[in-house]
Amino acid sequence: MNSNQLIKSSVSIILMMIVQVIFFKNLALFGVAFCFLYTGIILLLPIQVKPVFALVMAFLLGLILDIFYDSIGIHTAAFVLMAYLRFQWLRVVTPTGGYDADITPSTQNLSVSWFASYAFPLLFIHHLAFFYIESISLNIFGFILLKAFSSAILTLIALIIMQGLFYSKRRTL
Amino acid sequence: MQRIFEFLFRFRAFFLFLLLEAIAVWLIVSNNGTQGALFFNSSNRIAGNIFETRSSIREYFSLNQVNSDLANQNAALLNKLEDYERLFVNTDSLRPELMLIDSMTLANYEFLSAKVINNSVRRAQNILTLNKGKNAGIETGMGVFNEQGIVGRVKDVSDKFSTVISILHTESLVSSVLQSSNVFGTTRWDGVNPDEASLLYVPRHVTVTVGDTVVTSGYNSVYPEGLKIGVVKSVERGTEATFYDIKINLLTNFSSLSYVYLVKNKNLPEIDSLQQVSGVINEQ
Repeated sequence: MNSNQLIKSSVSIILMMIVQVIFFKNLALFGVAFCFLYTGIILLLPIQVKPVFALVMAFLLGLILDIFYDSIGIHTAAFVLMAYLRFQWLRVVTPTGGYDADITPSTQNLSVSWFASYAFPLLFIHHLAFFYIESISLNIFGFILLKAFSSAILTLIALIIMQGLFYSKRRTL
Repeated sequence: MQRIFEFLFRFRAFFLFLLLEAIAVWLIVSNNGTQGALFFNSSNRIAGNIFETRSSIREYFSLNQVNSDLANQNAALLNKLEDYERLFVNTDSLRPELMLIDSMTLANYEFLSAKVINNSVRRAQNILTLNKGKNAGIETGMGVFNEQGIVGRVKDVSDKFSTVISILHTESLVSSVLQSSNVFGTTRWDGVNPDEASLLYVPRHVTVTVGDTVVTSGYNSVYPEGLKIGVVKSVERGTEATFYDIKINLLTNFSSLSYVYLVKNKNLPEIDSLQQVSGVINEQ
C-alpha cells in the first residue's frame, strides 16, 4: 500500500464515520432496520491486512462510535467480534482460484453475489451482538432477531450502493 | 518456555481478540449504572459540538412547531399566574412578605431550560444530549420534562453539555400515580415501542379504566408532583396474580423533542441523606 492509497483509505474511513454519526445515527426504517454503514470499514479492508491491525482498528473505531451513541463498550464489542470472525470467514468463502494478491473484497474486484454471501453473515452477527448486548436486560429476543436481520439487509444494500458509486476496480480501498 | 511464546505468537490474533473483548465487556459492565464515566459519552466537548452544529441546522425545519408549542406553554403559564395573583389580592393573610417566612410556601423547585441537540428513540437504551452543562447550573440527577410530559433524568454533566437518560431507557423507573384513583405504580419502558410503556405494581383490587391519566407521584425527589406521563391504553389481568398488566401511551413525543425544562429539587440533599440514614432505596 503506497502513501497515496493510505491517504485515500484514511479519508474514506473518516467520511464513513462522519456519515454514520451525523446521518445514519437516528435512521430506523419501519422502526427496525438500522444502517450501520461503518461496518464497511472492516469489511472492505484489503485481504492481506494483518488480523492484529484490523482488531486494534475495530476496537478504536468502536470506542469513537460508542462516545457518539452513548453506548459505551457495545459497538466496541460487536465490532471487534466482527473483525475477528472476518478472517475466519474469508478463508471459508475463498472463490475458486483464490484471491488475487492484495485486493479489497469489494463488489468491483469480485462480484455482487460473492460480496453479499461474504458480508451478510458477518453483518448479521455484528448486528445481533449489538442489539443483544444493548437490550440484554429485556426479554425481547424475537424483536432483536427481527432488528438484526432487517438491519443486515439494509446495511448490505447501502454498502453495495456505496461501492457502486465511489469505488473503482482494482483499488485497495 | 520458548514453546509457550511460540504458541502465544501463533495465536496472537485470538488472544488479542479475547483481550479487546474483555476490555469492551468491562467497559459495558462498569458503565452500566445510571452514572457513567465522564469522558466516554456525548457530553464531551467534541461530540457535543458536532451534535450542536447538526441540531442548529435541523432546527430551522421545526421552527413553526417549536414556536407554537412555546406559545401554548406561555398561555398556560399566564393562566396560572393570573390565578395566583387573584389569590394574593383577595386574601390579606397570604401577603408575600409573610409567605417568605413559612418554609411550606417557599419554592422547593428550581427550573432551567435547555435544548436537545442529540436524541434517539429507536434504540433499546435511549439517551439525549442537552446544550447546557455545569456552567449553566445543570447537575446530575435533575428531572427533565417539556410541555407535553416528562422526558428523563440528567445522567452526566460536562462544562457545556449534559446527557439525559430518557424515559425510553429500561433503567428509568418513574414513581407514578393514576390521577383518577390516586393509586401508585411504577412506569417502565418495555424497550420496543417509543410511544408505549408499562405501569407496574398496580394491585388488582383497584379499578383502572382505559383513558386514565398517569402523572408523577412526587414521592421521588426528581420530578415535582403532577407532571404528565401518559394515558392508560389497555388493562389486562396479568400472569402474576397480584398485579395488573397495564400499558400506557406516553404523552411526550420523543421523536420531536426540541426545548426542554430541567427541574432541581432544592431539598434533594436533605431527603437523600435522610433516606440513606434510614436505609430506603428509592426509585427515580
